[in-house]
Amino acid sequence: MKKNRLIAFALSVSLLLGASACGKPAKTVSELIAEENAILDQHQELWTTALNSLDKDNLAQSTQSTNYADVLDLAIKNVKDQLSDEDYKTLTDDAAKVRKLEDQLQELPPEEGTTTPASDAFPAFEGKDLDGNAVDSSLFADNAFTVVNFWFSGCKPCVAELGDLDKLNQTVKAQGGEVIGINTETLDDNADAIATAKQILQTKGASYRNITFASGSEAGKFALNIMSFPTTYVIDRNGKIVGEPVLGGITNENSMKQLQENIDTAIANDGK
Amino acid sequence: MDKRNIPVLARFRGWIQAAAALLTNIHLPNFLQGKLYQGGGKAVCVPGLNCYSCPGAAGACPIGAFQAVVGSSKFRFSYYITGILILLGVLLGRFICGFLCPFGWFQELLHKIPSPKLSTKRLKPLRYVKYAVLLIMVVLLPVLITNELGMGDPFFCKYLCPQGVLEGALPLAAVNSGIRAALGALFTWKAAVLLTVIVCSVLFYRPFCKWLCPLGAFYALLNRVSLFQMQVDTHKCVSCGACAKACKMDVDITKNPNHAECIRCGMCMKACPTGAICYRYGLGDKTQTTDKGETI
Repeated sequence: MKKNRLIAFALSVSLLLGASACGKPAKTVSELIAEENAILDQHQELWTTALNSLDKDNLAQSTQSTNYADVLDLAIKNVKDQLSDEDYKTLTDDAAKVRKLEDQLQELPPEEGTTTPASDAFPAFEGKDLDGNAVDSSLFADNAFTVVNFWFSGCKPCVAELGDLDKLNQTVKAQGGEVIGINTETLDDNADAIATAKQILQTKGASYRNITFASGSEAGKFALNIMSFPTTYVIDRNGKIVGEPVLGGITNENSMKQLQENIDTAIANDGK
Repeated sequence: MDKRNIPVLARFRGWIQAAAALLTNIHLPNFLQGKLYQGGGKAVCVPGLNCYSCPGAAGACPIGAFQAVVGSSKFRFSYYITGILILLGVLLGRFICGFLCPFGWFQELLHKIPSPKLSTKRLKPLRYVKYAVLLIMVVLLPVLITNELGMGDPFFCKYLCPQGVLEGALPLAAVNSGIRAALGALFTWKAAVLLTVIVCSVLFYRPFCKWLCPLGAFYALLNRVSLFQMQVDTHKCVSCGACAKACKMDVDITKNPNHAECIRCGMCMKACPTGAICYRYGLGDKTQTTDKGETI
């Protein structure tokens, strides 16, 4: 009986620990990057020579890949003739180790506070507003910043803030900004959903633009990957995402402050 | 005590509970990525109380789904989900609480933490609170308290459900800074509810199931007509009272084998010195006693 109790106790403790540790990956992005740096540092001189051999053309070519090991391989190829067999082996071994770490890195979501260049830009789209006028991602260029609000018709907190977003749209017009809504139910020109969305917008007195595009497009996938609604992004004139998105309604003071910070950053950076 | 008389189901209950909790939340990699599974499985309800917003969840929570439907502007009642619940209730009844519900298992594990254990026998009237939770928070308030577009809040999920914090808010907030930033007073309240349930679970056996769970309340209503039944062989019973003493849900099975609170855990079977109690599945006369208890 005592043994049973002990086992049960151990189980419950491990469950508690498991629950509290939930979601923490074995290694974080920064740990993996630190490991990569440690590998390269061991043969720093060799690597400096190799990496210095890369010119602009090489880099442009290599940066098409997000895998840093590709850049290292290219560097090794460049200086191969100047290396002794031993040095060549050292470098290729290092590159192989880095590749392993890079593979793990690619699996991980980007770390908080660090956004990779690839996810920095709001994905391109071609679509329509809810009245059927064609729109595409060039609309960001018209304004210093664009506030993009993701919502859906069955989401009560989303619907609750539509009026506030309309007020925000009036306010930011003067600052060279615009508010745009994306209702994820209206994607793919879903006529019923568009009718419902328009009716809700009208009831809430929201007159700013709402747009729809294909769910299979990059922007469509981006929209369908969002799991907290509402989510509000700020996009700058170049189509880049500014700061972290605001999750949840902007109706409370904290969220509004966070949104305003993103807007201020976008205005400050505009024209630089 | 002769172990052979105890049915396999009751003997391996802990393992069945573990397997059910795992299957209900099978999308384990999502815990690391802070994502939700959004595939076809979410169109169906799992039998137990298991948050839709748990990253690993394989299906929807019946109570959450019911509120989402009745709270929407288009519907005032959900026949689809009520139908699923009645089907599950008739097929299994509160066997689901005892064997399949992840939150029931969670409370049981907590109860195994060594501490003074308190009896709930004197707290029996609190059992009726869960029916009020079902009627008021799940069925009525989402329909009655609505905005200008007829949309209501999922009151139980929003204000009471501790499983939502345990499976949804905590794992998501752990890996997602945006969600962490959005946590406010509501989260503090719900975390306090969860903490209270955790502390009570150590001291009492399954306090949430007994007193608050609207899903347990629904299955309790169907327990009497469920195909999964308990049967007491009156010829074998020596009226020693060991079963009632062993029952942690405060049921005297000899008086009422299919009591609304019986979660079919089988503790009475293990306690019975004559092997007079058994599981019974199917239609037929429940009162008839057999020479040899059928076991499944």
